[in-house]
Amino acid sequence: MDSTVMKVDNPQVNFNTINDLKGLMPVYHQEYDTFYLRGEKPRPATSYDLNGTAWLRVDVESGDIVGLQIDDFESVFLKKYPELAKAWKEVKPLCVRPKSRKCPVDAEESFLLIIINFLLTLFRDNPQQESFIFLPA
Amino acid sequence: MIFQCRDRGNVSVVCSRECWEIHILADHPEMEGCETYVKAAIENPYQVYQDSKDINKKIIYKPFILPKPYNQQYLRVAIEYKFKKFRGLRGYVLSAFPCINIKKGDILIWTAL
Repeated sequence: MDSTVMKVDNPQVNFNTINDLKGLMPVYHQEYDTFYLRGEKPRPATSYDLNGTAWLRVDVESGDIVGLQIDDFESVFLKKYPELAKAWKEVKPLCVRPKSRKCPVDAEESFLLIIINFLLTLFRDNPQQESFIFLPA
Repeated sequence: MIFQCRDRGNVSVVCSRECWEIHILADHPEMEGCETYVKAAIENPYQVYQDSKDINKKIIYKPFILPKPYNQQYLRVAIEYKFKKFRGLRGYVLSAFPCINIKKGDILIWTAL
């Protein structure tokens, strides 16, 4: 069957907003082994796959990055990037849902900086992918 | 339970209330009211991928099914399949959210085209 390629009108991710993640809250959902950076009340957003490593949560209108999701966080991600595992060990008890109210801000901020620096490196090494959807002619 | 349906391989798939409310809606508020789209995507997918890290997980993609402003994007649904002695094979919805692109690394095993 012939097929055509349709370029869809999706938001361009505004990578300049990556540093906004610093103001978000780390949350770990142990049962689903999923790590999130999100606001106290998560915003509606679409998701952008970053090289199979993480999902960036992106505002559909502005393209601003409003959150982060990493699937298989302990089972795959930390094994792939062991340099983050040590920092995670210290921060994990503060991030497991339901979130502790006694979270030391310094430890949380340090971990956020480590994660964001890691993402910035990942962006540099992986240019943005286009999104195409294949449709029948 | 939010819904139960059959995937394209005729395997029963369940979306539990706990998963929908505590996991999906809590972190993806854009999925509010989208249960029927998730069910429709499972029953009539556009593409099915094998998760690259877990042989028991499959990923369904369906474009243009969600309402605005996500109507030009994919709906991505992750399902974990478990075999139980008396129930047989059954799938459980793990996650569902809109996305711009398909996750790199997953293996395409079926497409509607």
